[in-house]
Amino acid sequence: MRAKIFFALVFILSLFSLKAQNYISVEAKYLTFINNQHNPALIEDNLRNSEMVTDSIIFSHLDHPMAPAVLSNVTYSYFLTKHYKLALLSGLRYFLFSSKNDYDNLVKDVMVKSASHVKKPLIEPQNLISQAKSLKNFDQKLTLLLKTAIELHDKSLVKLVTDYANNMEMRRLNVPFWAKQWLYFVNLGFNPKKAYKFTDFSYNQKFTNVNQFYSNLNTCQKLQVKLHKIFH
Amino acid sequence: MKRLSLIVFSLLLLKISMAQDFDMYQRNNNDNFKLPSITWQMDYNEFDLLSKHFRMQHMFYAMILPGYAHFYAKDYTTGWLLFTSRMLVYSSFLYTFYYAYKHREDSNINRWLINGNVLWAEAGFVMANYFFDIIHGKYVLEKKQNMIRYKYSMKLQLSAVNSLDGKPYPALGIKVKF
Repeated sequence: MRAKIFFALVFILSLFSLKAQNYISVEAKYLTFINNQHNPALIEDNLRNSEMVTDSIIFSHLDHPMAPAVLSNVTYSYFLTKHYKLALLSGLRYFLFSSKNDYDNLVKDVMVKSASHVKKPLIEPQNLISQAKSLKNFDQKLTLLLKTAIELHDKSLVKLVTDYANNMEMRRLNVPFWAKQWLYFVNLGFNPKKAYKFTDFSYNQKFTNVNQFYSNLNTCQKLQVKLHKIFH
Repeated sequence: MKRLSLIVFSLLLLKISMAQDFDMYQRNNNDNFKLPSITWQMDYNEFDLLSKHFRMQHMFYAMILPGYAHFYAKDYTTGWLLFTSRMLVYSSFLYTFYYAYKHREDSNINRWLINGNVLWAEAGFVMANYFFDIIHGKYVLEKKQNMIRYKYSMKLQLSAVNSLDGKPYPALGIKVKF
């Protein structure tokens, strides 16, 4: 009798779990459907929803069978809507977190085309892909993603870096010091490129207080920050 | 008698034409407590856009506030452009009248201003600005609403295909109500 009740409970729980993950397959099918229509307005309208599902995949459902389809189609969506930097980052996300390699050629092709539209900074997709494939640790994968996002100097990536850093902290993963430093200067009001110049990627110590963010700045940069604080 | 019936008929017509903005039907106080069923991915911005109807009253509001229809459709860039351009034309109107007043003794200038191109151009711009605002604003709102409806309806349809590989298979469902 106990075994039957246990079996019934497991069956009901698995039903709920299937239902909970169904939105990933729905998103994959919808993304394929709208990407084939080549309607930029329609694709643009869905980008926010795709990001929500992508975050859910990365932080909760990496082994979902439709996850690679979502990750690859999001990359293509960014390309079709001419968000080339985001397409590059999304392609990197596919190579970092995809459990299958069904869409490798398609995503690589989109990344190469996107990179040709990004003049500064120069990004080589092949290097990114080989770096992504060599990483096994989840912590290291997220770190590479954050570093690439910061190096791309784009305002639209600030929210992504903030969300990922917050998610890492919530999961008690180690957020790199330089990511915190970059976010600190961006939040002060500096543009991503300027904040990147203030960031010290070689600093390896743990974050204890805000004064550490100023440790690598030269006198001129410190003066810039002081003036910025006064006038903003 | 004929005149009276004509007046009553005209008043009735007026009431019908205004019917969309004045409630002629009974409304319950609890109508606002009806909670819509929305999907978990929908944000407040989309919910707000879907709840909007571009009605006759908004055409009147657009006369007073330039760019109103675009602000209503949450197209703020175009809204501010229309607002600024119409405000500039209003300022030029004022300046034109001031200029005409200052040179009121010069008949040539007055003729050029009042009968000539300047005032007509300004009035034409204000009208064009207004009509663009209401026609394009309504179009933008309906386009945004259609995209939201299309997105969530399609996702709802796709969720009915309950297998992970996209092929439907027969299944039994359980519904529990408390």
